[in-house]
Amino acid sequence: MAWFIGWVGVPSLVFGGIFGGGVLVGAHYPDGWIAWAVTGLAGLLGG
Amino acid sequence: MSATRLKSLGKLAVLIGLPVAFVVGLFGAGVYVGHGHRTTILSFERDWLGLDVKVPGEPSKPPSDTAKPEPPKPEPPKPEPTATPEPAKPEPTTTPDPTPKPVEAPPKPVETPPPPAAGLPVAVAEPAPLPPELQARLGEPLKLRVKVVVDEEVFDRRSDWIDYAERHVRWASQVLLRELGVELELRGVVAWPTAWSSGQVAFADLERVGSDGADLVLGLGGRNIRTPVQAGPTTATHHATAAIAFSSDPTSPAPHLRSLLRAVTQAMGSDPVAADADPIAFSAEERRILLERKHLPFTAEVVEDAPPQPADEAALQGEN
Repeated sequence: MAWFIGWVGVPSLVFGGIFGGGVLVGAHYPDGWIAWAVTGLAGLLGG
Repeated sequence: MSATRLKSLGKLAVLIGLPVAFVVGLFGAGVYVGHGHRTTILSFERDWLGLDVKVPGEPSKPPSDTAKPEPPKPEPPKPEPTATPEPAKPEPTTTPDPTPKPVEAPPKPVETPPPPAAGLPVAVAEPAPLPPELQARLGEPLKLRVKVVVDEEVFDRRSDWIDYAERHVRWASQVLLRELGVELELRGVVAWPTAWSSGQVAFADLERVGSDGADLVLGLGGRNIRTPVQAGPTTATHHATAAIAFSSDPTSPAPHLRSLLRAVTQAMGSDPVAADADPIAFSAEERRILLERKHLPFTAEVVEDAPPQPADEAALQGEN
């Protein structure tokens, strides 16, 4: 149990929180410089 | 710098740089997903979490209004006949009044232009008063069916490109209704797979797009291009059937509004809106020309290789 929490639970929370924070920023500030930079970079990489 | 030192620096960069790059990349992926699914996320926040957020493309109405059959469908480019015939009535009267009053409801034949539109995101000058003969022309309603084609630049930049096009058509319709008595009815929004680098390229592509029953096909180009001609050829008896509007200041809340107004008015035979004037205003002389040409048909220019035949004219009339 401790192993699961330490190696799965907590990292999932941390990385999920980082990802979710990005989702919220992208949804609430679509015209901001962060979204502009990310979509521009994605456009360069994705074609 | 020695090789050992370089090696140490490299290890340090990898030790610190990789986790930082991973976190930044994860955050960026989240931003990308959030930007692309903005409508869904904001709808979830509003409907499930009860947050007070504004979902793009949907008007903010009180939750008491039920029975609104408008499911959001941003992805498939289907023709959506969005008509805006009704003036805003923010008082849903459910209690029966003993003394019913005709409150602010204008009669159906609109003789005077509607009150100044407060919902425009940029400054637009009030329409100048008209002489009586032109005032009568202004009161004659005209509904112009438009189909919007966005290029790849707009499609890539705006995840809500359909709502974006609909907003701009709605704003342009408000201005044109005040200035000319012309209302724009959006018949459909489609995306074109290339980015237009000039007006000529855009017109060549717009000719290949079917009108689907629309009077005017409007192209929205995402690049900031200044082109003097924004509409197809007009004659003394016909309007143009295609027009192009490129973006202006991308930081503006309505980057395509000015060029859209110029495109529609040029398609109708005049150019009353200056390229740079702030606020947006219609010149009196050009406005007069547009009002006089108002009810001409929107048909493609016929290339006359042979003398015109009555059958061709009848076919053109039948299309209208």
